[in-house]
Formats: sequence, structure tokens, C-alpha cells
Amino acid sequence: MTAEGGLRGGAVLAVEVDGLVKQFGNRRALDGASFSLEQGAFLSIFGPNGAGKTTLLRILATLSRPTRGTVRLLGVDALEEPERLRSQIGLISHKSMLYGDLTAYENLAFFSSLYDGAPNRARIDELLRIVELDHRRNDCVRTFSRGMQQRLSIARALVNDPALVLLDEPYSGLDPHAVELFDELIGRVRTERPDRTFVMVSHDLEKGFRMCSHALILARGQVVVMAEKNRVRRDAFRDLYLATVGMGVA
Amino acid sequence: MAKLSAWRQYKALLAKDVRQELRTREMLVSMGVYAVLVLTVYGAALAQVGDRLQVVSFAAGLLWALIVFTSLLGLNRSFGRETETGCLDGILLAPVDRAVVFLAKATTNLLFLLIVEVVVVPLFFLFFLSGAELAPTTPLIALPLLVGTVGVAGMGTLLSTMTINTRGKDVLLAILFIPVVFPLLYACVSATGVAFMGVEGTFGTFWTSCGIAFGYDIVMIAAAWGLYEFVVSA
Amino acid sequence: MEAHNKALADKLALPLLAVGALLVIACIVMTFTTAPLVQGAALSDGASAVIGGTVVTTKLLLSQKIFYLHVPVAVASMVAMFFTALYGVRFLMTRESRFDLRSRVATTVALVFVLATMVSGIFWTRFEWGVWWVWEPRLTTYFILMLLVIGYFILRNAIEDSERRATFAAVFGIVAFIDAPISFMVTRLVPSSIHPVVFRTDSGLPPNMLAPFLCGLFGMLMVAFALYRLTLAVYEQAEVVEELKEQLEEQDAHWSVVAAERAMRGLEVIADDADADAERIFAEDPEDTGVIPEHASRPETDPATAAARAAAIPAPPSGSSRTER
Repeated sequence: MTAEGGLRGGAVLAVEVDGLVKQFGNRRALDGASFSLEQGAFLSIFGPNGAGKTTLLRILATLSRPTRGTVRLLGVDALEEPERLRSQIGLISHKSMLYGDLTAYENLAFFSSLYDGAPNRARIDELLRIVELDHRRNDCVRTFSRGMQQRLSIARALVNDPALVLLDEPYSGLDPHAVELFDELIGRVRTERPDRTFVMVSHDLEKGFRMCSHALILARGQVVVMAEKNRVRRDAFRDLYLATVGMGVA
Repeated sequence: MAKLSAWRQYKALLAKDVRQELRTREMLVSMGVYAVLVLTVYGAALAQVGDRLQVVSFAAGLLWALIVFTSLLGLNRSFGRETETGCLDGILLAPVDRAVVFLAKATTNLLFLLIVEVVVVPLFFLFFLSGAELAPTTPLIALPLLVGTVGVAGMGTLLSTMTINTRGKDVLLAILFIPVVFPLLYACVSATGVAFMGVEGTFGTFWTSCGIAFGYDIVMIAAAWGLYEFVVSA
Repeated sequence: MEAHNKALADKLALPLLAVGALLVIACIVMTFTTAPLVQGAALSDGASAVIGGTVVTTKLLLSQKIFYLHVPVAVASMVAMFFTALYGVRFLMTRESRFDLRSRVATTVALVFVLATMVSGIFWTRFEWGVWWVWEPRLTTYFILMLLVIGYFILRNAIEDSERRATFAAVFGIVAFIDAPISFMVTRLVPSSIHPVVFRTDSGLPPNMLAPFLCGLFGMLMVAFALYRLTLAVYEQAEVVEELKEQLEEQDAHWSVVAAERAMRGLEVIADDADADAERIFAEDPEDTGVIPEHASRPETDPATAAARAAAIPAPPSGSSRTER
């Protein structure tokens, strides 16, 4: 694996998590979570509050380290070489991760500079076009609606053309129209690069299930169930989820 | 290649902060106004003694108190921008060395503090040292001012990163900052005081104090540099 | 090896406390009996007094006796701060919460001794100089150290997430430990125009001063160590209680995970059924179903009710037959 491009494609699994434990003192946020995901998949992670979803996502983003266990992303050990992976990861959060006093273009240029040393103008223009914010490129983000901020956040997350895109409750605060636009954009982004992998954490069963190709339920820091979407009927999955949540797990 | 990239990342981080500040002038204005308000309080404090008191003899202390209070105000605002909308995660997600993040933030803080000082120090002279006889060595105060502000910016950056997400962050920053910065303050006041008084034969003290302040900067900023990674990724 | 040391240390704690306390008492007794009187500042106006048949021109410092306790508590507090920083470093390197606990306990001990140093220092200043406070090196340094230690606890209090709290506390502890000696050096090296630095006879003590001094020093250090170990034991026991509470909660949770797994298996069976049915319907040769034999005779059920049935698991069994966590 020479350049970052060498990390994608091929038979390498996008995510391989084994026996992940995140513990401090007596509290265990993750308690032996294991799963794997092939490239190009879209995984939705569901679970009650306190199940460890955000902890898991932060570990996948290399923002946090587990106490025990292994994490391999795109074939690279995330604990040994996190810096190598960072150029291939993008994160879309419920926070916009944008500077309100800079324009849309300046925000993207800044983040682009962090990855490439100088802003990648062509890529920024392309992204602004994809998220349909080109007409607002010179407006301060502070003037954007929440939905527009979230769309720009997608552009920000893709500025380094990541192989793995992580989403942390991206729908919070979005009205139905904004949600539709968001989903449409994600869909467009998926078709643009089919080998790009997505992992989303969501409280919303409906939206999460609709977008995904694989679904995972996390409870009490453990993977309760992971299934391919087309192997499970939606209403059955919903019952399963409620059963997991309802049993005093939260 | 890696070294080149770190420098460019540093420049990008710096440019981003400067650009934001130029656009809103929020930090500079609030720090400037606050400094003037402190001077006003000094005015009330010294009004009754007027000519009877040799303000020059403790001008150094007053000046440095002003700088410490003003910097406390600025430090939290500076880092607040990163955490409000989660931008810090965006930065940490990129392949950026955490030490570069520290340096960039510390440089930004230093820059803004120096700008405020350039405005406020002359104001101080105007308000309290108008009638006083100033020693010819007075311009030398620039040296302890610079060395001291570097230390203030460095330690302030480290500590404000810790306090930014807590309740009552301003008070907490003050509680941690003032004892940590005390030795620097002590040395700088001493040096500044000697420069103000301009007494023959005391300049050994001036250079000793500046030397100690410089030593503080080196030791403490090296420590902050090494420890910053733990603090910012927590 | 570590456990053996720990057990040994715990057993020693109480006896050490006793021995240390005795030594301190011995020190106090000796201070007022065998230790020589120390010459101090000159009596004002060059006056002289006749005491016990000899002319005395300097103050005979009874207040100096505080030195025999003041210095030991000061040393003990610096030793405690050293351990705060040491365990802070070990925590940052390993991320194990036990180091954070030790760092916190060391700082607690440091707080006690710093306060003792401050109080004894203030009294010394009062007896010797006649004022309650002077910005002289030792007092100033200890005042700053006291603020740093208090700041440490306020910082801990302000952060809710336990790992973050431990990380920040460790970093601040290290910064405080580096800052304290710098503080001391600054106040010594930077000449102050108003208050002269007073250099006491810290080194080269004559023999009969040495005895009470050493008693006091070792006594205090032993007391400090004993306090550290006893406090640590108390906190560790509190943690054990917390852990037991969590384990009880987890017992409930474990059963829900098992139940969910069972439900999922039920769903997969249904999915397989659906596949099998579909294949049967669309197969060209009605005889050739390509179906896995054991599923062929399963009755068709509504998947939703099947899931509901699967989900309606009986209450967890009361006995703990589950595996060791």
C-alpha cells in the first residue's frame, strides 16, 4: 500500500472490529463489540442511549482509542497507524463542524488545506455543485439554515475524498424537506463512488433502515445483532429493536 | 514532505483564525474595551492620591495586572470558536499533528494579545504617567512585555483547552491560570519596574528577570507542547 | 509482585502512622528541651538585654522552633506533589484509572501538608517579624502551591466524564509540579526591593539541632506515607462497592442480549422460509424445489407475529447460572 489510493478497492474489508472494549474504571462503554463490513456497504447502527454507539463511531474515526480489542480500517490497523488512515476518513456529525464567520468556500478551503497543504479548488467547486450550494459559496455559514449547513457539512466531510464516511446522528434538527435533500445527496454521493463505505449512527429507525444495506443493533456495549437489510423484514427488525430497547437495557 | 505539510497546516490554521477575527473583530474589540474598563477602575483607585503618589514606582504591577485580566477574557473566546460547532473534531480528524494545533492556537492568542497591548500600553501612559518623569530606559519595557506575553499565550492556550467545555469556564480558567503564570508575572513585573524607574546599577536585575521569564517560557511551553496532545484529544 | 508489595504497604500503614506520630512528638519535645536557641535578628536600636547573666544583643528566637515542624511538613508536601506528577505521567502513558486514583490521593495528602506549611509559615512570620504576612520566597511559593492544589480539585470537580477528568487532572498535576519549583526560584532570584530575602540556617545544622530536625522530618514523611496508603485503601474500597453495583445492573442487561439473539435467530428462520417459498413458487420443475429439506414442512406464519412471539421472552431466571463476566 503506497499512496492513500492504495487503501481502497480490492477485497479488503472496510471495517474489521474485534473484541472492542472501552472501559474506564468501572464503566464500560463498549464490552466486546465485534463486526466486519465490506467496502461499499452502508451500515446503520442502532441502539438505546448509553449503548456505546457514539463511542464506537469515535473509535472508528480514530478520535478515540479503545482499552482493548482491534480495529482495522481498509486493512490498516487503526491503533498502530491512525495518521495514515485520517486522510481516508470523513465525519458528518449533528454539529455542523463549520466556522460560522467564514464563507462556504473558505470553510471548505480551510479543511482542504489541512489535508493537502493547499486548497484543492477543483474539488471544492465540484463539491459545492454536488451539494447545490454553489450559489451561496461566498456567504457566511452563519446565514445558512440548518439544512444548508448540514449539506455543506457533507461537502466538508468529502473534501478529502474519503473511503470511509461516518455519520453521527446527521438528521437531528432537520425538517422533513431537509431530510429528503440530505438523503438524496447521500444517495448521489454513493453512486458517484460505489466503493465508498458509510457507517451511520442514528436514533431514527425509519431513516436509518431506509438508507442502509446492513443494520446493527448495539446494546450495553455489545453487538446484539448484525444483519444484511434484505435478509430481514423491516417491521420484524423494528420489533427486534424495540425488544432490545424495552428490556431494561437503557 | 511531512515537514512542509506541517508548516502549511500551521499557516492554514493561523489564516483561518486571523480571517475570522478580521471579519468580526469580536475578540480584539472585547479585549480592548475590557482593558479600557480596567484602566477606568484604576482611575477611580488612584484618583484620590493624584500627585502625591509616584505612580511610576508601581506602574509595572498595574500594567501587568491589566494584561493578565485582559488575556483571561480573550483566551476562552479564542478556543470557544472551535468547540461551539464541533470544528475541533474536524481539525483532529485531519492528519494534523496535535502539536501544530497547539502552536497555531498559541500564535493566534499571542498575536491578538500583542495587538491589544500595542493599543492599551500607550493608553496607560496617557492616563497615569502623563505628568511623570519617565526614565530614558522606559522603551526597554518592550522586552519583558514580549517575553511575558509569549508565556501567557502558551500556558493560556493549554489551560483554556481544558476549561472550554466546563461549566463556569471563565472562573475555572482564572483559578488555574493565575497560579501557573505567577512566576512569569513576578519576573516580568520586576523587569518592567526596573525599566520604568531607570535607576543606575539596577539593570542587573532587569536582565536576570528577563532571563528567568525567558527560562519560564522555554520550560513551560515545552511542557505544554508535549502535554497538549493528551488534552486536545480527550 | 505488585500485589505483594501492596499488601505489605497496607499492613505497614497503621504502624507507620503510629511510629511517625511518635517521632513527631519526640521532635516537638526535643525542640523545646535539647535544641539550642538560635540567634536571630538584631534587637532594635542596638539595645541589649541581660538574660541569665549574659548580654544579649540579638533576638533569641523561640519562634524559630517552628522551623522543626515547618520544614518537615513542607518537604512532605513536595514529596506528595512529586507523586501526583509521577502518577499523572503513568496515567497518561497507560490510561489505567488506578494511576489516576493514586494521583488524586497523593494530591489530597499534599493539600493537607501544604495547608500545614502555610499555617506554620504564617505563625513563624508573625513571631519573627511581627507581621502576619510577608511576600518572601517560602511563603509566596507555598501560597502558589496551595492555589495550584486547590485548583486541581476544582478542575476535577468541573469535569463530568471520568476519563477526561483523569486526563486533565494528570496534565494539570504535572504542570503544577513543574511550576512550584520555578515559583520558588523566581522569588529567590529576583531581588525584591522592599522585602529582603531571609536566608535561614537551612544547612550545616549543629548536632543538637540535627536530632530533633531529623526526627521531625522522618516522622512527617512516615505520617504522609501512612495517610496516603490509608486514604488509598478507603477510595479503593469505595470503587469496589461501585463495581458491585454495576455488576448487579449488568446481570439484568445480559438477559436482554440473550433474548434479542434468540429473537434474531427466529427472524432468520423466517427469512429462510420466505426464500424457500419464493424458490418453490418460481422453480421451473415443480418437483425440483432446491429447498433445504428440514425447512420444507414448516408451517407458514406471519413474520410479525413470529417476531413478537420470539420477542415475548419469559423473565430472566433468578439463579445466576450465567458465565463469569
